[in-house]
Parts: sequence; structure tokens; C-alpha cells
Amino acid sequence: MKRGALGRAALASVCTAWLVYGCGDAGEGEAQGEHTAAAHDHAAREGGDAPLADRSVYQLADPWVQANGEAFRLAQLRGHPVLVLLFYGTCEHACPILVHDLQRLDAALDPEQRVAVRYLLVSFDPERDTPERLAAYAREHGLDPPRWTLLHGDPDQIRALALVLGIRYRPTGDGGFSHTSRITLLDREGVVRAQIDGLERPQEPLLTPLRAMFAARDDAASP
Amino acid sequence: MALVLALAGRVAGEVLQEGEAPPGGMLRVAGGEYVPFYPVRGEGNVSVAPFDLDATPVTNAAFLEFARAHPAWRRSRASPLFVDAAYLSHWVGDLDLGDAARGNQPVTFVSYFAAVAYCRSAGKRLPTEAEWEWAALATPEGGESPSEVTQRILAFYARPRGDLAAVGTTPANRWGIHDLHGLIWEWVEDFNASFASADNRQDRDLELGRFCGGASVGAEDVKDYAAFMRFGFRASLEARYALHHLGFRCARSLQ
Repeated sequence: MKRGALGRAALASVCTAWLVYGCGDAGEGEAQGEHTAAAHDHAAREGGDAPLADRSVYQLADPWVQANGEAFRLAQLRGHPVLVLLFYGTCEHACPILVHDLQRLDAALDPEQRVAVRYLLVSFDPERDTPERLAAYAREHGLDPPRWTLLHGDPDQIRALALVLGIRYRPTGDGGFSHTSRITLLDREGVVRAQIDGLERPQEPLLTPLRAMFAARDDAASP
Repeated sequence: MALVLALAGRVAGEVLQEGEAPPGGMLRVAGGEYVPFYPVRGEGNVSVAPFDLDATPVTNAAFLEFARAHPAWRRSRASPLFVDAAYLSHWVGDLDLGDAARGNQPVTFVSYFAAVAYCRSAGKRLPTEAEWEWAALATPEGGESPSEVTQRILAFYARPRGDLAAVGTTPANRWGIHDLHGLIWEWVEDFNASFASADNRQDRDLELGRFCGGASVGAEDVKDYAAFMRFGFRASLEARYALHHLGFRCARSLQ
């Protein structure tokens, strides 16, 4: 009954929900509702006109900072299949392998698919992974824009993204992070479609739904 | 002062309170250091700075006011990305507690995201796991022995839960904080920090040494079953979950 009420009419308020979450100001009344509705419109314009799907990760509307120093909203990825990895730059073992896993997956795609796919790498470590450091990391690993996006955020923002992706992590006290080694496939609307955990895993669980997305679009495009 | 009873760890020291008085409904918890129930590799004791903590969990009545002011967090509107289907399911409607939920009971059936949004709207945040465990180490006024306290907590964990009592009806601890034990389970900010192992090369991110049963070697005090239950419970949670006996209270850093 109440789930059924979560129709499109409710979606306009979803970003409002997130902005309440994402801002520490207390005591706003209706004025905040107007403010966040405007922010929602802005986000919607950036990512497309239709309201976000009710499970879209892009409801996390707070802006991040890209490696080039510019602001970035997740909704800017709308329209692209996206592979998401949470990582940190000083990670010596798991993260480089996971990045390599993404590159291996990319190599398995057809050239026209490769053009459309986006890779999103979000750092657990806002202190050390400054945008400048992320830019250097991208250069070292050949992660070129616009297909590869590396993001710096604040701790609350990182935790929220990790939680919607089901990723657990904590600082280990020696500058590292314990974390779930997970690659997530988002569809063109930012909805989680597949995940694999672990390093150097077979990639069919990601490649099969990813290829299916392209096949569905090809079908829709043909007469 | 340092000879406080240990429930989920051992107290190693304390620092005195400081700063201006806590806002209404909150109490100051002095900072301190304790031996964690699950020691982290490469780290010694857990150090907690002084902070303010709500004296009681957030009530149905208070959460109702929040839902009134923030329509996006009403039951019918909250995104399924942030709440599961049980969110506020003990209420009759979006803004109607009905007969089954009373205003002075702790609000339960709230997701992590909803709890965080509530605390943010009040200029607060959720307590960290370290802060919560530190506050919960403090004994009730009146001086029970550690084993008596543990027994009382275990009795609470074991009791089938029917109707929830009003907040503030369990004995206050030495900070004046109520209901840390004996009423509900509570969200903590970093609940998802439990049970990950460092930069792992394994398929799974679980560190088996943390589990109860045959491999609980990571625990500081393997007889502290109550702490096992809390850490295990947190590790089983997902942020969307809204559960019958899971609520929250807010904390605040001192400036």
C-alpha cells in the first residue's frame, strides 16, 4: 500500500530528502522545500528531463569534486552504463588489481560499447586523495576522461554512496582502509544491475547484463 | 574515576569535560580511552573525544514532527533507495501514530538514512560506534558489578520484545544517559565499519576472527556475549533496513 504510493509524484521530493540528509543546517521550514526543489530541477536538467528512477543511486545529489577540480554530480552519468569502484590511491594491493579488473572488462567490450561506457572511481580517502592526487593517479594508470571519472568527496558523502552500494569499510589506523572489494554495474538511470565481489573474478556477471543493455538499445533503435 | 566497569572493553583513561553546556535533551559525555572489544590491527586503544549525546532515544513524537517538517521522509514518500518496506510500518499513516505507537516510545522501524536525516535536521549527527560503546561502558548509578550488568543486558537481549517502554524508564548511567541498554538497538554512524579486513585479497571481506563461535579470536573479552551480539547485529545490517527494535539517538561534537 505505502510502497504503491511511491509513484512518480513522490519522486520530486526524493532529492529533497537527500539534500536534507546532506546539509547540516537546522530549522529550515518550507523555504528549504523550495530551495531543494530548485536544486532538483537543476540536477534533472543536467542529467536529463525525466524524474530519476526510485532506486537510482543518482538521488545522491550532493556535488563531488573531479580530478580536474570541477564539481561533478552523479546524475551527469545518466544515459551511460557505469561501472563503479570505491578505492583509495595509496592502496597497494586490492585497488590496483580492481582497477586492472575494470581495464580488463573494458578490453572485452566492442569498440562502440567502449565509447558509451563510463567508469567511476570514488576515493574512500578524502584527506590524501585530493583532486590533484587523483589526477596523478589517473595519469599513472591511463584512466582518461571522459570515460574515466575519479571523484573526491567529503566523508558523509562517501559513506552514503558506499551504503547504497552495500560496501563496508573502515580506516585501519595505519593510513589504509579495510573495504569490500566490489565492482558495481549501474544502468543508464543509475540503478544497480549487477555486482561482483573480490579480485580477478570472472567478469561474466557484469559483462552479460552490460551487453544486454546495449542489445536492448539496439533493438529499440531498429525499425 | 577510571575504575569504571567494563562491558564491551576496558577503560584505560578519561579526559575531563569541557566546552559550553550541552543543548537541551543532551548530556556531556567525557572523553576517554578504552580497550576495544575488537582491537584494530596497528591501533591500540580507542580514543573518544568529549561529545554530547541525547539523554534518551528519539521518540515517535519527535520523529513525527520531523516527518511533518520534511515531507520527503514521510512513509509514503521516502525513496526505496533509503528505506525498506517496513519504514514506519508501526504507524497508522504518514503523520498518524495510531493506537499501537505511543509518542513517548522510542521510534523504531527507521532506516539508517532516515536516522541520519533526522539528526542533520537538528544540527546533530549519529554517534560513532566508538562513542556509543564508550557511553555504554558507563555503569548505572547505584553500582552493580560488571557481571550483574552483563547479566541484565543479556536478559534484555534474550527477552521476547512486546510493547516498548517509554524512553527514559531504564536507569540512567553515570553520565545521566538512559536506555543504552534495556530498551532498543540503536544505529551508529559507522555501523558499516564492522567486519571488513584490510586491503584483502580474498573473495569475501569478512574477517573470520571476529565471529562468535569457533573463531572469535579477535575479541578482547570472549565472555562478553552482549558485545558479540551488538557487533554481530551491526554487521548484519544494511542502511535501508527498518526493524522493529532498532532506533537511534543523536550526538554532537564539541566545537
